[in-house]
Amino acid sequence: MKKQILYAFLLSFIASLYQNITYASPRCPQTMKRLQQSLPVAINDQKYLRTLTNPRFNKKQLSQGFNKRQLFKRMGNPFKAKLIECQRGGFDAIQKKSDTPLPTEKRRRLIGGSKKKKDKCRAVKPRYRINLAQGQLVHLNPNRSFKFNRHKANHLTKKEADQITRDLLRDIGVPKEELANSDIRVLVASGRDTNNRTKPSKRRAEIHVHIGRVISKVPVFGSEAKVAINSDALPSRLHLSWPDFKLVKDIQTRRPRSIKTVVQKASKALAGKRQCNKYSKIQAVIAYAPVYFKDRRKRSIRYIPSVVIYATPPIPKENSGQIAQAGIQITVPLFE
Amino acid sequence: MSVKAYSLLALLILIGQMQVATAKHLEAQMYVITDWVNECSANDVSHWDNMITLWYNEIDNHGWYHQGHQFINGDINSKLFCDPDTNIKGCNDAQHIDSADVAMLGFHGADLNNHWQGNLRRKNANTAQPCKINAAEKAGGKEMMVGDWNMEFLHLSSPNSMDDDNIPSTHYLFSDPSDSQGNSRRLHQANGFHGFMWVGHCCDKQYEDFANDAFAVSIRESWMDNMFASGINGNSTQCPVAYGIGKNRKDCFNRLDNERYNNIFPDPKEKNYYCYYYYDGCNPEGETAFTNPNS
Repeated sequence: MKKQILYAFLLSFIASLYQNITYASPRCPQTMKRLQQSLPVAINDQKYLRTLTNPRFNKKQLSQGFNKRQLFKRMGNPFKAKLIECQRGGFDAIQKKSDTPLPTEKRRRLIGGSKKKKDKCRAVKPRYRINLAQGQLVHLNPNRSFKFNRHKANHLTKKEADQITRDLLRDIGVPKEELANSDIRVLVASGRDTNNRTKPSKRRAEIHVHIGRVISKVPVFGSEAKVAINSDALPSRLHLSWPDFKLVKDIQTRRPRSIKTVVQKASKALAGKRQCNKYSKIQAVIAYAPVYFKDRRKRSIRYIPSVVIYATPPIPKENSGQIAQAGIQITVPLFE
Repeated sequence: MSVKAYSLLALLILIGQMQVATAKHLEAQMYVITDWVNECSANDVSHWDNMITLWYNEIDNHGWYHQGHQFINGDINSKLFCDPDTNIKGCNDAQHIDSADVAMLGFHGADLNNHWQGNLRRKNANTAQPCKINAAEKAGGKEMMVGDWNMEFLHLSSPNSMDDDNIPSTHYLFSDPSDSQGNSRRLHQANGFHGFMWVGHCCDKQYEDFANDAFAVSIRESWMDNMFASGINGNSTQCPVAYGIGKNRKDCFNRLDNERYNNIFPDPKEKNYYCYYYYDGCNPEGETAFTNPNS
């Protein structure tokens, strides 16, 4: 009996060892090959990798340069709430009763603002979530966002929206040399009766400006500004994720990873458990990526030069019912 | 103690009990698959549950919703999502997804004809496509119709869950013709994606902030604002869509523009109008650029 138990233990130990070996050994050669081809050539360049550990950037980061006064001036003061929510003709009501800077007469003509009557307004304070240690700044104001039944179409151009956003970010203390190119989108509201008997409705609601971040021309993964500009040419919402830039403490002493290690680590994450995951393309970019701590809410964010990988599954044919799988994004640090 | 003091104490206890009874009276559920099996095979996506759990934990932090069910992998099959009025054996959404007030699903998707399909982990042998759940494409036409029992808000973290060409028929998901006519219960809002969506550390904050913000601004705004992403060099563009129904245009937009997790309107009594928000020309993987079917 004792012998049998011993054999059973031995067999299960060998089985677990085998499992570990199969996971550690190169799996899914196609994925590995694709990965290798997608990686930037610079990963092989030790000199370049070293420059990533010593980037030049503005030492006056958001937490030092943050200008709360400007933020409240531009977006509304939560401690001095004014009457800003109005049922109709909200534009003029805002002009008379809020502490918000308003567009000039010229701009009002440009964007088609009206001088119509005032209506019922009620006081609601704008809300902020500010956590500068984590670089988070969120402005939430239910009253300044687009309401289809109350607001006119937004005729701002993308260029104007971009300028308003950049001015706002500069004013509140975001280092301007860290602002990357903008991705500007028009948010549209549309609808129709379910029997398709009436004419459909469609209105440009807001212009949303998304600006990524760069440090010494290298993208910073997960750091961005999202600003919505309303039809009165005012920033109506701000979502800022701009942690102070700090590399991991011991980055100078860490060894750069070989391309083989990077590929192995990435392919392990992309491979799939039982069978090989399928991808139509894999793209990779060198960037500073945050190190993910378990207690991420309590700790300040640190960055490490990494490769950010986007793996796109096979593209299904339109209306075919072929499986449409989620894209996978992973980051692999370039240093041990 | 005087009679007055006793009455005051009794009143305070009563108020306290009432608060306990109303706190977290709404139910949130999540369903997510990270590990597909041979029975219904697809790419494994290990981080998906982390993202949706962030939403699930955050929605529980505001005193309105409690955590009802957290389904991760296991026996996720179409019986949990299909309506019994489809007459498919075993369908019991009222005990599962439609028993929630709000739910988020994290499945691979598909675009079949004019509706979304979710890819599941286990087969339901009673349906023609055993590994899938089909959203209704016409009145009473397919498996998934929610809101006729309880649900108000449905969030689909799934590729092709709100494709542009499916917009005119998405409202069939919002009611069950045999029940909703009588009990006037309907889904209020559904949120999804045109084309592919992404899973990874990229998206953790999106899901957490979505839940957090939707207590301060409308669910529609929070979804559109948080879920849009373009990644580095536009590599992971995500195109969210928010969709609602109403008696007429005014009612529809009023709901979509003002309903928050903590500001819930009565169920739409009629479904004569559908309305939605999208990003013009948003061009994700797995689809062409968003074209408004009603322009």
